[in-house]
Amino acid sequence: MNKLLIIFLIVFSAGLLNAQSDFEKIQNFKQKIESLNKEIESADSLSQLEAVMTKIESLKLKSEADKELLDKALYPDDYTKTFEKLDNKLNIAIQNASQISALEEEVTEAQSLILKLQQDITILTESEAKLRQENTALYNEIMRIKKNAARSKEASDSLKTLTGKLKDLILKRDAFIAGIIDSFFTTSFQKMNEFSQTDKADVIATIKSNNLLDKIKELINDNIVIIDKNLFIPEDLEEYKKEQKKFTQNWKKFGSSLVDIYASQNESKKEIYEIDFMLSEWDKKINNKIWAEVNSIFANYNIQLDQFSSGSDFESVLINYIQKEIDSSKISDNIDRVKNYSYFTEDIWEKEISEKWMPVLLRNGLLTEKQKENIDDKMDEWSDAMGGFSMTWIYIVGVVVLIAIITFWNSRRLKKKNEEQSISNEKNPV
Amino acid sequence: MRVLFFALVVFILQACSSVILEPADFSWPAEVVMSADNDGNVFEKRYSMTFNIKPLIKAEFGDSVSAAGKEIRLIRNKNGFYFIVSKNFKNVYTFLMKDGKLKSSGKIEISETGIESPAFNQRNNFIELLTGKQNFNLTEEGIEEKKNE
Repeated sequence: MNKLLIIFLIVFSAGLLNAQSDFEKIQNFKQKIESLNKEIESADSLSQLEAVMTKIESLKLKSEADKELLDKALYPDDYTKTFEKLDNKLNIAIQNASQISALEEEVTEAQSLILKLQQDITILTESEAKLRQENTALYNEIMRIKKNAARSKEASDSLKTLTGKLKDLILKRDAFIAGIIDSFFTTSFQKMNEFSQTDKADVIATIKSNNLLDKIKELINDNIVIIDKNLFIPEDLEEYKKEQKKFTQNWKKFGSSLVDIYASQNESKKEIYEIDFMLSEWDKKINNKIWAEVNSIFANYNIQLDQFSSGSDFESVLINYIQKEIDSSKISDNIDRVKNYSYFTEDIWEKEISEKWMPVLLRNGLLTEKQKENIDDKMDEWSDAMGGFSMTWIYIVGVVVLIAIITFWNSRRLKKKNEEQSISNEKNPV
Repeated sequence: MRVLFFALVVFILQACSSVILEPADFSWPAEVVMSADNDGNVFEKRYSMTFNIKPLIKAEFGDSVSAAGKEIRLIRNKNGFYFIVSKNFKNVYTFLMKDGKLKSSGKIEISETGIESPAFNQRNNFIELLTGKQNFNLTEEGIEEKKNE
């Protein structure tokens, strides 16, 4: 009896299915498509779109049997076109959702970066503060000892040691500040374009709360003071120059990003431009010191040259000097002009300038290769005017003449001795 | 006699000049459902047709007052006949187009009490009418087959 009932129900329900109006089927299909379209439009996550995709696949399977009917009924589209449109819409939505999801991930990543950055900067700035304290103490000590340095050798040695320490400390601080800048640059600033206004406000707050710009200014200022107070040895100048360049490069990247962040804050922008100016002052001071060192070399050798503080000055001052020497050599005594030439080329130019300072000047762009070539040409001209002579040649000729005299005198002595020997042999035959 | 012969030739020639295009299939894939406006006019977008249903309502119910808002179901079979039905209709009406009008070509009696929920389906050689109780296979000539749901 039960079996019969089940069979009846199956037949009855199958009959009901068969009895469905085509119009209803079409309407149902259209409604489902419309509803799926709306679901795609309103979905705001990939998982929601994946659920829609499953529904679409299910509808495809269920409606496959009515394809012929739907092909005609969906005019001007057809069954395939309707699903193609839906699939395209879904794919575009998935692409958009993927991008949104990627952006959301980036925002989350950016936020965690900012957090890490804030922690790093706090640690770094604490360490920097300690270094600055040490720096100030050392500086005061140096200034105290410097007053007595001339009077005692012990004080002078101590000054030398402390100056070395101060240099190391300053470089360490430079590295610390560069580390902070780097920390900003390599992490967050590359992603600055992706930061929201809130993220940017966080970065500004971090910079301000850690007085980062003040620290940078203090550091530049300390570097300038070291140069101004001559708390360095000339050999260190190039190292300072390198440090300045590195710092400026980092700042250029960091500073331009800061200008963007501070777009609406004129006061902070002013601070950034002030740092730009200080950095160029720092550079100028180092350059002036390098040129002053080169000036002092000529002065120490009693060569009277006009002061120079740039590559072009250096070139023209030297060329003028050499020209004057060439001109005066035409009227002065031969030996004197050779002496002057040898003194300048061998003692000053080769030992001091060419070996020590010329590479520094060229490496740091203070002198161009062209300017060096012009000076070398002038030196060659001077050499030609000297007839190729130099003190070395005079010494060589002198030694040769001396050897010749000794040889001549020796041979004469031997000859005389031989003659005396033969006379004696003649007088006393064996 | 000559005149008669001449007239016959003209008639034959005229008959020869009419062109017949076949086979032809006028069937719609599915019925369309339209609601009448206040004047009893219905509009069909896809097939671009419009007509007034007041005479049909009057024929079915005896008056045309209730035509406004009435929903009718329309389908066309392979031979080009239109089948019209509506809720509570006792009959299905068949029509043909003629001179810019729909002219009734027949009436197929389905139910004495009126069809509760009628619907047409297009089938190969007939129109299927669903009534909610019974299914009918219809042609322009009448009921082809009756089936119980």
